[in-house]
Amino acid sequence: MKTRINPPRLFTLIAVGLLIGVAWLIADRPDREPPPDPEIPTRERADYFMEGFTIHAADATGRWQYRLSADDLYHFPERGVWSFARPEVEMFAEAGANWYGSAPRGSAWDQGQRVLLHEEVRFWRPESAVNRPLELETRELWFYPGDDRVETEAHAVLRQDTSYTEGVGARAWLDQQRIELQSEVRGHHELP
Amino acid sequence: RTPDRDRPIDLEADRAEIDNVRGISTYTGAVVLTQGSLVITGDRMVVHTRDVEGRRVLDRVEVAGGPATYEQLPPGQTDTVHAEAPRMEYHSRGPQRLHLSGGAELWQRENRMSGDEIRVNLETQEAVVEGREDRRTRTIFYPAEERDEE
Repeated sequence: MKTRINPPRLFTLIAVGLLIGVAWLIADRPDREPPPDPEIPTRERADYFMEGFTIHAADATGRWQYRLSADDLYHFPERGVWSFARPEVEMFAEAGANWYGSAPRGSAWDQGQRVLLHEEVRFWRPESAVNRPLELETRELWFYPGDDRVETEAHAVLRQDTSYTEGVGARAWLDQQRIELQSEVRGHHELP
Repeated sequence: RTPDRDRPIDLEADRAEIDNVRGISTYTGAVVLTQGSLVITGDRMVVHTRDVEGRRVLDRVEVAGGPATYEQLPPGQTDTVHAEAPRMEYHSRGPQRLHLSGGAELWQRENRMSGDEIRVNLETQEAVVEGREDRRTRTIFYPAEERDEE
């Protein structure tokens, strides 16, 4: 004789079975290891710092290459990096006006042969008898004093006289007094 | 409609290079120049500036393309003027004009002119076409249809 389990009782059986299974999973089973303690990053330690400093660096021929000033400098040996607050860089030009860069924060590596300014970077050059005034704004800018070169991969806006040109990626060859915007370029020229 | 010559000039391109001494900017790669209804396209555009009260202002643009193209809706007209040439030179002032060279064609609807060079005064809408031995000038003008006066 066939016995039929009526639906409500079947549902109750399934529900009880599920509850037992979940309880077993949650139960504090001795064979499962406890989750590892969250790793607390050890605060990187600076090995020296300077306050209110200015560095002048010369190239191999003794020609002054650049000046770097900042409110303070911290040196982190593990990464071999200098970290600055409110740095200003002055790149000395052989012809025309010098080039200047400033930002809220900066870093430098390889004895200052690679300098990075970041967070609202301003890079400018005043007018002189030789060159036009210009100003470049971006969020990070690399300085390579040894190559007389400055570059970013970020969006940059270059303002000159009555025009501005923006693009993604920019590179300036300071000794050649030439700036390149590398992609997605838009130029705007106001006419008097 | 604000006359095109009083509008700012905008450019789009893949790359741009700025010469900080001569005040020249070179735009390359799918370059499009717009100034109101005026649109010029090319592969390369060199923007020259001139001094106006101590500031550098856009003076003229040299255009190269395969071909370079021009179009503009002249003031007070309903038909766009078009042109094509391997090289163009656009002057934004004194007067606003366009110089097409290297084998040029200019047309508006079915009216058409071609020759080695074409010079267009964009303010007076006068065009002069010059030929060469191997590229004579050709001009086709259709009389304007009589408008039925009601």
